[in-house]
Amino acid sequence: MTSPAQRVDAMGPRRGSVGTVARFLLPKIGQALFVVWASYTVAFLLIHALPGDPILAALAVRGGDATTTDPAVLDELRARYGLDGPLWQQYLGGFFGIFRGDLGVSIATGLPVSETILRVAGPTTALAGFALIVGFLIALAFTVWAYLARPAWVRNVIVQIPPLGIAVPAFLTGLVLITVFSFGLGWFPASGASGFASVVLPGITLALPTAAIFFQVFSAAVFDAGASPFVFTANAKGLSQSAVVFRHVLRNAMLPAITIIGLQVGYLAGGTAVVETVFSRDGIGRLTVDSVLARDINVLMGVVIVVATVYAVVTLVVDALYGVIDPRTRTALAGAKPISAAKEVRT
Amino acid sequence: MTSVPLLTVRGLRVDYTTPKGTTAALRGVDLDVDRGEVVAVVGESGSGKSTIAHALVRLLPEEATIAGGDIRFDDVDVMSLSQRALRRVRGARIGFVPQDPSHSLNPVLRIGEQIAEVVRRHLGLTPPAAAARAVEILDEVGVPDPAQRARQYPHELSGGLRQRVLIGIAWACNPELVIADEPTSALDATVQRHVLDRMQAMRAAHGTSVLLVTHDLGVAADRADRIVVVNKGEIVERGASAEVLADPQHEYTRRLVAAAPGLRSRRLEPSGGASRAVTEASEPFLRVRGLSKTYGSTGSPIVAADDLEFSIDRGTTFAIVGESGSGKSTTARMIARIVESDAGTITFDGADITRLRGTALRQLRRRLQVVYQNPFGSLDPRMTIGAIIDEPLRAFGMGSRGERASTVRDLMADVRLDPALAARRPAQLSGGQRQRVAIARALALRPEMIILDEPVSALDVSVQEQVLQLLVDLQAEHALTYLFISHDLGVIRQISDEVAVMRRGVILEQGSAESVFAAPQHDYTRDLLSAIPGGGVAAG
Repeated sequence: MTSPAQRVDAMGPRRGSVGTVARFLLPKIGQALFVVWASYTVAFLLIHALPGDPILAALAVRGGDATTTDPAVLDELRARYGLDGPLWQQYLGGFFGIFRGDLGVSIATGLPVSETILRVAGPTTALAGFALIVGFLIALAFTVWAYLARPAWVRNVIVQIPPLGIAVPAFLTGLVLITVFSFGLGWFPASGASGFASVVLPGITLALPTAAIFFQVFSAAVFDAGASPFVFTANAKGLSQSAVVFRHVLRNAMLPAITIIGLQVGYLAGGTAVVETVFSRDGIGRLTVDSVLARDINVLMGVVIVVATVYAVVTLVVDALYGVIDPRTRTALAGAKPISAAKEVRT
Repeated sequence: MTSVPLLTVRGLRVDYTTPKGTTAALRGVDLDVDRGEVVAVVGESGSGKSTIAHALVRLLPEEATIAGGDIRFDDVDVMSLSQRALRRVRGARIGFVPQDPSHSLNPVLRIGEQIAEVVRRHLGLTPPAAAARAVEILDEVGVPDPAQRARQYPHELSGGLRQRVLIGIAWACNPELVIADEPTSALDATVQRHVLDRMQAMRAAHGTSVLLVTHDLGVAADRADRIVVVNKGEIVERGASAEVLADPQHEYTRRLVAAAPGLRSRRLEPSGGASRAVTEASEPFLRVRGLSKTYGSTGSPIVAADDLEFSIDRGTTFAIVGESGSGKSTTARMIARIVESDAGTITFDGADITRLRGTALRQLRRRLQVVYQNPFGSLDPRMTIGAIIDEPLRAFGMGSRGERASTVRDLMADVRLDPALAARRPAQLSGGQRQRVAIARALALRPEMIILDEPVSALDVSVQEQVLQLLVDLQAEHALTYLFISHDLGVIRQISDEVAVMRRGVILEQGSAESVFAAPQHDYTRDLLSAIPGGGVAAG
């Protein structure tokens, strides 16, 4: 039976939803913008707090310490790279340039920074994406294994394994993997960024610390959910072991775990530097190292901005997803009034 | 009735192993449940009654091991079943209604799906058929608008409705036995009655045997054919419900029966013959006029208190009874000046305290103290008992260190606590002892009035009785005025002079305790009174 009251209930969420969703999302969008702005500002201040003129430094790297430059040429170079005028002008100009997609021109190569970054973004995305997925799966496998392991001491041993992933430095894992799977077995190439095979070894190298971090959050969430009364109910229902673990334990444990994906992406963006160097791959990390060595502050700023933006966007998407995945948040967002609705039928 | 019981338990022993050593939770329990019979397992917290329930389906926590004994269910040896086979018995032939409805349903799955997965698993229904069956089950357990509810998530349902869903899950596959572990202890009295009625109806309709685990003798008396009393992991008494209650044989059962608030009907008198000093004053000690409070600004405001009017004479106990969400605790907090009221006045001993601030409010705290419900949360776990009781004295600079130490000893003697406990910490005390500490702390500044917000509802019945007796004695000794908040009419009857019944922020009825209990005016009060378990059994 459908009473008029129910129809109103069904309509209610729709009417109120735009406002509530905006109220939920707007602060998060604000936070994302703040992260980008703050990263830009801190990086700008740090770079400009360094002693010496960036153009001179870059020229010195290119031509040796003895290079002398005509002041007029220097001014012309400064204008070309957007490093002329007072600092606040550079600061504002650079910041508003972000919104036009204009990140300046590379001092080292003379190419637009946005183009330079875009060129290496593909390999890095493939690498980071692979590492994220593999890391997630490794963490999941270890968590389920640890959760089901009996007796307690076996579980305690299993729980100790994943932290090794973060304790062993990436360059060491990378070298070991290359020695065994590339030089030894010849399964995967040791360097380069062409094709899927080239992603595997650096991807696994990066996936290990990623898995370790995922595991810390996962296992806590899984043991927490596993001890909860609703899992007792699921067992008392006589469900199969796999139904209990996957439908009841993991579904609840996923919620806290996905919140750290944003952090992981931030880590991966930085973590690629070592791995891309070890495996001689083109990518954001290697570009960062190269631009630091070449004193190319424009590229450096560009990398900082791009990484901060990716981190902010991923966090924003994860937050928004959280609202969709967790039915409790979803009801709150839909503007329904569960408590008052429930009360009426109570008596 | 067949000669072979449906469930036979012999010599069941369960041990808990912790880093500190092994303790026996069950020491050889024998138990039979016949077909179609309701057997209640009654005991206080820590008696092992829930361990029995969990051990029967071998769903004990990891640190517990079944050390010995025999469990036979319809000639199946439960102890020797493999986990895989056991998972075919649970849910299909033995249903389980868990204790805590607010956490016992998966928060991210729809209600209908949580029922449907049981019938899919055990009856092999197709997903559409299982979904349809889930709606029928919801209807059968009395969930209104079952089709719509089936699509909702647990947090969208009230506690009573969630417990009905759990009952539906337990009965979904028409089991021969349902184990109900404290199925209603987390629910309001009127909701508890509806839920128990529903369980009884399901039992009658399906001819199921029920093992009802409860701490409440009244519930057991109302609902069970036979009662088994557990104490310290052993069964101390068993027999037909009416016989056990009318003529308890074991000393422990006698204590339980005597303490059960629903089973008796008198106000406690001060022990030791002291008479209560009710001074005949023209002016009431505390007067509340037009007190109102609304929570939530826009959207759906919740009225916690709506134009409340009452007064309390010096040296008497005024009780506010209500179920969760009635606004009774908010009222207590407004009077204690912990929560600001929206409108109205509170007069304390002739002075308006509604808007007191700063020093004046601080001085009021000396005369008006509060004792909270939860004796676990309201004591700082890192302080010693002595320091906790001493804290208000120190805060108000009452006397030197030596004087305060002797005051603390006096206070502990006042609340019948061994002064040797002063060096202990809260975790080393029992619930009843902790609540005595909280009362001693409230007494430290020699207040004239104490607000008691559900002071005994977290305690076992036998401990409840002792704490209530203590409160009555202290009232006589120190001429205290009490504002007593409770959801439990049985407890209220033992301590109150005046009673107000609250629902949704409104006082529906108030008057002397005798008149409210003997001749309730409002339907809701009658409802509450009839919901007291054990009402059908004459006080032994």
